Amino acid sequence: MPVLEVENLKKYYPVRKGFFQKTINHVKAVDGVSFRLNAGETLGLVGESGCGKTTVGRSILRLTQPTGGKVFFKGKDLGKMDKETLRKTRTSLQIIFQDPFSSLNPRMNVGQIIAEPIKNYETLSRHDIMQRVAELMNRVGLRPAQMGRYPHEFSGGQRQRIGIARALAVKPDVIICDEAVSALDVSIQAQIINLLKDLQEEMNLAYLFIAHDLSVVEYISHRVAVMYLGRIVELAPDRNLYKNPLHPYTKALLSAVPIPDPLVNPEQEIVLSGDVPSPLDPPEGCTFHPRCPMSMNKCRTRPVYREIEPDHWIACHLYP
Amino acid sequence: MNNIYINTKNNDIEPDEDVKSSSGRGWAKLKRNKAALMGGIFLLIYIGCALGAPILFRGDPSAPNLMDSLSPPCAKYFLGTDELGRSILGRILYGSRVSLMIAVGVVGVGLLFGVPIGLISGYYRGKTDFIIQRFTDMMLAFPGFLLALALVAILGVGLENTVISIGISMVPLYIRLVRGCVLTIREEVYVKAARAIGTKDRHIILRHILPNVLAPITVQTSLGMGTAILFAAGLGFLGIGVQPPTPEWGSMLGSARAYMMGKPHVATFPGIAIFLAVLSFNLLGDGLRDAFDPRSKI
Amino acid sequence: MKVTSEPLLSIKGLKTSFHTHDGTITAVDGVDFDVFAGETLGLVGESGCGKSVTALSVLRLLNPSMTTIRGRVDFNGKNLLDLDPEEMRMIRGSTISMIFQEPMTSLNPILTVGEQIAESLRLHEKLDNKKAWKKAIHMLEIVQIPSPEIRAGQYPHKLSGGMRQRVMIAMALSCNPCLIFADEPTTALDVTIQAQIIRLLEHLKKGSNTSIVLITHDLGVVAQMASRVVVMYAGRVVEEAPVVELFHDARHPYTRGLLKSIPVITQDKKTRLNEIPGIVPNLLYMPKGCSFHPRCSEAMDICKKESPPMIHLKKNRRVACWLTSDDYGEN
Repeated sequence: MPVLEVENLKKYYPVRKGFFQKTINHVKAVDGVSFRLNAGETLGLVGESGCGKTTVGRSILRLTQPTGGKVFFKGKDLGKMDKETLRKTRTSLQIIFQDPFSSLNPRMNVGQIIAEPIKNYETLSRHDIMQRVAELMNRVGLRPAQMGRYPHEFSGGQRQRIGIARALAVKPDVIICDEAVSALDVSIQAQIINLLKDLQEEMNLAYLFIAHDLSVVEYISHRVAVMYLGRIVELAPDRNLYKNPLHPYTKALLSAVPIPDPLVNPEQEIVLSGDVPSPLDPPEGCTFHPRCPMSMNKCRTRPVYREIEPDHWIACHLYP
Repeated sequence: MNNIYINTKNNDIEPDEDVKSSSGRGWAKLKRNKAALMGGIFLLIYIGCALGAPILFRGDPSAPNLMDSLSPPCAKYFLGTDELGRSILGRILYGSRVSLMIAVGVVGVGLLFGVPIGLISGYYRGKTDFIIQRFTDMMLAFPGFLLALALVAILGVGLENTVISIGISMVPLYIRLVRGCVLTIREEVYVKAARAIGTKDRHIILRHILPNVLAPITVQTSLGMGTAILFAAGLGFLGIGVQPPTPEWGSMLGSARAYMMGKPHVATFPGIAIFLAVLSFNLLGDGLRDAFDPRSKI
Repeated sequence: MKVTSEPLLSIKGLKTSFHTHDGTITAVDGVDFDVFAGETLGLVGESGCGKSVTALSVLRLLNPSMTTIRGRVDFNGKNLLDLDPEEMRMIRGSTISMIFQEPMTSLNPILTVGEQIAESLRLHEKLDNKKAWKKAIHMLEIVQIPSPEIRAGQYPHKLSGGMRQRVMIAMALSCNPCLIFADEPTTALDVTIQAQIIRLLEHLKKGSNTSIVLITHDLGVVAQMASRVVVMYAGRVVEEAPVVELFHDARHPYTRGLLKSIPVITQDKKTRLNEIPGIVPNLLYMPKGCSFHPRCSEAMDICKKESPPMIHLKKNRRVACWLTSDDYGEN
């Protein structure tokens, strides 16, 4: 059974106007997203700004309430849980945030930050808690002697390690990495990516790896989903996606990534014209069709998201 | 895995040994602010006067001595005497106790009600917040002093009622201040993170939100104390604050009105006392605000 | 692309220090490099290496009361650091211009986009209002903004990130500069928009002899756009090379480590990413000797004691590393 199953997830933000705050429109940040995540694997969720990938992560964890759809954790519907059961389930669903500077409370020291989740769920003696914190710090590459230090005394990469230790503290099954390495320098990124991979192997963690950097996503993921304006346009095992992308947006996205090698000529680059349309006023039917080099008349109707090959899903009229 | 810090010497995972904590840097900034320093020194003098009044002045400051009535400053009476022959210096010293008590009491009332209400209003939003805010709006529609006046009219005069009236008139300010901070802080990523790790609302408010609201509260407290003294003096001046014979700077001013032409010293010295006290609270409050602001360049 | 033998801009021994209450921070510590006419020079490094500060120092955009700048910046026969503020102002925006990183915040929100371009034209080219406005619209057209007449009258918040960056490019180009400093021009943009902007910059360069100093940490963008690269670390230049040599024959361990730590889409998968252990040093507490040695897997004894000299391997090819000097002997 997949450890996480998302079915037709939706998150709409109402746009209100007028004195009585009447809802006149909706921003469809997430508009029907479905996927499965298995234990021990990484699903990459990739897309440009405004595609809704961060909202997907937050909605799954119920940090923001989804407008529609279902999320199943180990077969149990998160939407049907009461407040306390949901809170207890959080031990299994954790998150690492993008900004190492704002994701840690500046007035708590490292030990307190990592101990907080433990204290929320277990009653352990002070000594035992400190022991656990020290183990976690070791595991993520920090020195336990620095437990009493405050976040501002650490570098960005170290703070991200603190965030990882905090997420691991309650032994989760799934960790949502919300742009977890995007704010780090390249050389530090490599450290953290390696750490995440090691931890995954050791603890059979499943990751939902949300990012906009395609190279990083490809490296760490087993399967990748590409999002555009609130919908998944293509989902496939990463080798397949990168070697043989089917959806025109995926192709354009991949061809736009600059390769760090001057001798490699960028393959016929598909340069998309125009900007991403506003999620307030998305195009009718297939949200990508106005910018799509292959659009047809049919594209004014929304394509069905279906599995055309084993584990290769796509929403495109070119592949009916 | 652990190779990460074997390979490196002083610049690896060691957080900087000498980096001052943010409060350390704040103190340093405060010390550099000359005005705030001055305010702080005055404040210490003020507190010293209040605490040491019985030592600095012997005798009963309220005991009349009509023979020496309205003497100008001289050797016997440093600051002269008032219309009942009482030493102005003595009354100012004892009056500082009264003012200090009022300042602390008023701010205490303001914090006691303002902080919890502000926290709840800002964190939970929704209907609770709406109702509380409309109520606060109503109270804030009155100028602060007028509100205090109105409350005195209801409650009556005297020291306790002065403290309660001015205190309550300050509550809406604290509610607004705290609520504003809470609204910002609750959007911070570390608050979302706290929810994600299963922290209950109560603990989020106490451990994550309140500590980060303390800085602006501290600034407002310092300024608020100055305002409290000013308001109390105003009420006293009008005769509806602290009642005679208790020495209070405002009421001293009030009763000195009649003698302004001939004997200005009776009003001048209490006036200077009020001015210096309020100024020192304000300078200190401004200095604290600048010290806590991470963007200021001093 | 005409490359003459005389550099257009020659930076020699640039040292920029900031005076803070915590001490003096030397963000740029003896940097030299040349920029030739018509080329794109990549200035590469991670955060804190001093690449942005270098550009700001050349253009003298730093706060003079808090900074000390020493060295020489030779341009058109004069040392830019010696010019008085008025002379510098005439150069900035016309002969040398800059594109900043954050298109969201580098445009004035209360002026229309056209007005911001026109301002520069009125100042440097002494055009009157009407002509300046017309040229502003023309510039918007050049940077491929559709409906430029309408866009010129709009305020920045109405434009997307990609468009704002195009406006910044239009501003930078409006007075026909011979040198542009582009500070992370595409970092804040989505990858498909980045591709558009890179295309645009390459297209614009073709017609002119303008040089670009491309400041970035993104090695992919450098590989695509630059002809030569200078790598900086902790305020110093550690390596300089033509772009192909840098990527295929890097000499400095930092450069090599950096190249190996980037995941590349086509690479053979699941080999562990090469890490550079440790973190960038705090500029207040620089290590003795080579500033990179605490993180260097090939550090030798001398690296811990003395700062390496700059070894010139051939024209426009140099490395600051004891390892190289071992091979080649000191120059």
